[in-house]
Amino acid sequence: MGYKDRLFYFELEDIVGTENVSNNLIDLDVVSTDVCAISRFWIDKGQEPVKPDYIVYPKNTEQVSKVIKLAKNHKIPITPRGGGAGDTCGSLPIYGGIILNMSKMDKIIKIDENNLTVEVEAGILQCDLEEGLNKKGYTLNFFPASLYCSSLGGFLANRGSGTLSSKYGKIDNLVVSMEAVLPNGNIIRTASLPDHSSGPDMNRLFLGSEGTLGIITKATLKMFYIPEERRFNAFLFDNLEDAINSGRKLMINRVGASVIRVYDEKDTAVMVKKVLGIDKIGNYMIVGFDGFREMVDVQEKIAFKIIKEAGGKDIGREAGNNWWENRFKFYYPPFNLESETILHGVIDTVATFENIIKIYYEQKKEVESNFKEWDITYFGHFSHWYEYGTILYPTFIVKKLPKDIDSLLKLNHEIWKLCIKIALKNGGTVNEHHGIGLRLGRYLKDMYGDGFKMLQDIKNAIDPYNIMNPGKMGFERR
Amino acid sequence: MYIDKHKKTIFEWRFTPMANYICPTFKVTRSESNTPRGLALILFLIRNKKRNFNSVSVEKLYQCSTCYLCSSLSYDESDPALLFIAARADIVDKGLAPGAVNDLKNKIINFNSDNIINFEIFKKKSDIGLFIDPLTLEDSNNEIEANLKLLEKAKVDFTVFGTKKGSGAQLFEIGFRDCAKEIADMNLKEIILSGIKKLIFLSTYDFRAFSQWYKEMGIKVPENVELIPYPKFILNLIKENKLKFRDGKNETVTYHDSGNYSRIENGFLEINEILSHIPNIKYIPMLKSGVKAGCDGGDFLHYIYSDIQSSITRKRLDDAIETGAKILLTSCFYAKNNFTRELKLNLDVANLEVMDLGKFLLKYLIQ
Repeated sequence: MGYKDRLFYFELEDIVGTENVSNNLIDLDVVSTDVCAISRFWIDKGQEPVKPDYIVYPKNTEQVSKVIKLAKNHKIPITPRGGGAGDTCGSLPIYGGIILNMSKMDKIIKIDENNLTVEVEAGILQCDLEEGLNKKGYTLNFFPASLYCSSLGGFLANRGSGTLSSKYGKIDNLVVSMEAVLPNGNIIRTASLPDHSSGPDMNRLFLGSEGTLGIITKATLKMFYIPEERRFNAFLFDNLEDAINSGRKLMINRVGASVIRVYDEKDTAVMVKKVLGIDKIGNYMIVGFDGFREMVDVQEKIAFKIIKEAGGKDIGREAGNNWWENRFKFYYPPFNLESETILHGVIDTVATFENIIKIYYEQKKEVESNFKEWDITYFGHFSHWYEYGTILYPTFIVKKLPKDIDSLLKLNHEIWKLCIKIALKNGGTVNEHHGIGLRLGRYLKDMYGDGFKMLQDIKNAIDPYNIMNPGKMGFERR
Repeated sequence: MYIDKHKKTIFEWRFTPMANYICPTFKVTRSESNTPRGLALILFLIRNKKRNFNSVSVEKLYQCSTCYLCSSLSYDESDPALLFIAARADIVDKGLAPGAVNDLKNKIINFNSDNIINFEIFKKKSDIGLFIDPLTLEDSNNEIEANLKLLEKAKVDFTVFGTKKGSGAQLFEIGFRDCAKEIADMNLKEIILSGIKKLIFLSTYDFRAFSQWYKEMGIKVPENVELIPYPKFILNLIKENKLKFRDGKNETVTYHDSGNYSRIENGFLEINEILSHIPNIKYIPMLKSGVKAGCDGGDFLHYIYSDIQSSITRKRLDDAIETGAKILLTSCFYAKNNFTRELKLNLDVANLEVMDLGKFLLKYLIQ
């Protein structure tokens, strides 16, 4: 580090304090990866980690603002980082510069028990927020797979989704208002209520912006009473279309299911068996309800009738509750796929009910035939439901890996390219709830056409020096 | 290197962030390098010769309190806590241990337990052995005496082990495997010679050493010697009606489960059952109890990174205060000492009394 950089380091220390800046190689190494296969394999194959120059831990919004103003002055890139658990390389410092680690902004500021909202700093881990609410009898009803390792800011910036999204929506639906720091260091607060006709909803500018338009520092979210009852039930379908159709009927009839999850036959045979020990042939379906006991009784009665009429065989409450109680097992060793010597990816997309099935079959056929030589498996589940469609959450697993890093990244690239092309061709999206980051940035132009040019214009206007998470979401490079 | 044996753990955890949230050191430093994923990744790079141990990685590895919370989240034999202990052994081998670690090693090796309690009176043959950590005599001799009295009241015939050199647990934890093994070998010879059938542990760390760490050192504890945590043994005495208690006068208590009892096979998780035998005691569990009980700061961290230990301890005290209980019980002397020290520093939480479980039981024992 030259003396110019050393002086910059001192300026950062002046803002956040000596203990809140690091440029130790070890610290920089650790933030050079997330869960994405690209960064993981890069390190695994012996490549030098792509590191930032500094890690800065702000403790309040004013410090965030000052750090951004300083970075803007020096035109140094800033990459915000929450739990570092994304899988799109979204929080990776691909142009060096500053990692703005938000983990010290982790306070629950205010629980409003009259309006059932909570104001919270964005660096808090989602599990800590949930625990804080639970202590007072409330819940966010937001239970993503990465509950234990991702921060609220990460979910907001990537429009994350949780297990109960079919009833409570994605994180977007829980947002009342937000505070954000713009790329010029100005601090803005969106309207104190989400529904109004006082101009556009500014929350929407930051939701899904992945730190490219500013840093979300606080949010006020809706919260709920912990439900009196929460139940799950499992069903088995002989064919996938019937299972999807029963889910569709549950949604368009607004029966109020908090969980609808359909595993295809392969996912049932591979993951459900491996993790839950449930050995069934067919398409495994979980349905869940929560709320007042009497309401759940009625909802279940209606839902079970719909499911059975669609061909679902009731395999019981125990199999359903077992899934709920063990759902995080999927992400711990040895069940998490990062614990295996395989290449895998999750290519989630969302589309209307008729299109989602087309995407599923076409992706499965094309992936399994085009990459057969690599011993590839494709399976998926449908886990976040809307009144107009559902998510497809496919996983590909490649067991036979190319030896060198370039061939491996190329193979990964080709599989993604094929799957996204099929999704977009059939009315799907580039992604449903993991975000875009570096991995999928190149496809956003294909999805939005001229709409993406508008996004780029907004980016240029707000961040003319391109310091905020550069190189992500397909925006112009530095 | 010692970490080579743990390559599976490194591989499984190097990119797995799911245990970060539970790591007490991460909770107070907020540095990802302090997390199980961070440490596993650092060791992955070291093992693959991309990096060497340096002052920062050494610091991070000694800042882990070895609470085993991360290991408790594994669904297979991978054990991050044991990996980090192995890394410390490599650090010691390379002569890179920080000064404070060497100071602690010397303190342990040179500690003289003579004249604190006269253990000669217990030196007789028995089927039951009581293992006492001499290091705990320094700050907890009153509690040890209370626990000995409890056994005496229950008319338990026992002999005493460990009072000179302990189990070697702390030496093993901070990386001095040769010293630890020497002590372990000595203990094993004594135990085999004595012919005891049950070995009761007053210190949670000694229980961990005999149950797991001795195996790591290549020492096999005879299968016919049953290893029992002290509170579990007490529970059996209570069930056998050898200990009876008077009215608890509506005292409210909470209990800190030590990770070396709760997060280990054949450990101790039955505090509720013990306390249910004292009439009119209200036991209020902490939100994080049993296997997932929060860390109290551990045994060695105080000597090396006391600021981190203090912050971890404070968080656990907050858990206890949240229960509204007046007394915080623990069966771990190191935890008791951490809590007591922290209470002295924080007068705002001084309404909470910290007490050793044995001492508390003696208070209500029908004599």
